[in-house]
Amino acid sequence: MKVRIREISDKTDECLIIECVEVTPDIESIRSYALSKGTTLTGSRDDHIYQFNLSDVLYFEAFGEQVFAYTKSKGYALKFRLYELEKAYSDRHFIRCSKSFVINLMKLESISPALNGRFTAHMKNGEKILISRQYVPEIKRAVLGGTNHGL
Amino acid sequence: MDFKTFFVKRVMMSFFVSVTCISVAMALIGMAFEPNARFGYEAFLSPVLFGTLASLPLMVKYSKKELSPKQIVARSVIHLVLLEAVLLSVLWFARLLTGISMAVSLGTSICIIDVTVHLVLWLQDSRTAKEFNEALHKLQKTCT
Repeated sequence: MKVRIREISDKTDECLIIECVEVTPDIESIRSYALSKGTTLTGSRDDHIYQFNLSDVLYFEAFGEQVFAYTKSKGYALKFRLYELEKAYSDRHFIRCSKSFVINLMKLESISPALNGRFTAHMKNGEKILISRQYVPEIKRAVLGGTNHGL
Repeated sequence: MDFKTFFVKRVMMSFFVSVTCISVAMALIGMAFEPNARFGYEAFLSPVLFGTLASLPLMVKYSKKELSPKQIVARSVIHLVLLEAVLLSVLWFARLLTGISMAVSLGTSICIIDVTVHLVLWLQDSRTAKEFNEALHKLQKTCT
């Protein structure tokens, strides 16, 4: 595939155009990556407001009434509900793995079996998050594609 | 998972699987060791009775909240102990256990089957995790 980069002067006009014969899973992945790279979120920490890239987020966690976004070393409180984030960023490799967590598949190192048909998600910063049994099929579908793979 | 879903999905499923397995085991063992024995209609009730007894201890695995791996291990051990206790006591009171050695061998068999089931499920999940991790790394490579 040819790659062309054309420099422009206005940041608001930045865009990525993919010309392809067919929208394959690889093309979808490039699209998701580009979308997440260009997106920023606003969150609060220690009474300060911060802006950070969506692509830096490892996972979102709902804790009580509050939802937090966690990057490699920092956590930010957000003014969104977890289901809103899940819906908004599902096409950017963010996927629900339990009632309280939405993880970034691009920041997932690996999974390992936990007991009772569940799995443990090992994130790239070393944290471990439990993948509930009911969300396992959806996560497998997101990574393995439409095949069942032992489901 | 609410109690109704748990009961229908896990306990009822376990009951029907147990009844089927007990019926098949009774038929095969009977044909092999006592092919001439004859029973009345009440014999149809024993798989149902033992299926119920084998499924009831599953209730200890129910929890409204997501259990931690340690809690799951603890409840699995309690489940195994309860299963052994229920089945062996019923067999003992029904005078189907003829001695301590039979009780020990039956108890050991139940334990081995239970551990084997967990091991098979674990191996199956390990295979799935391996496939998943390979696909995940491929996906991440495509995107970076």
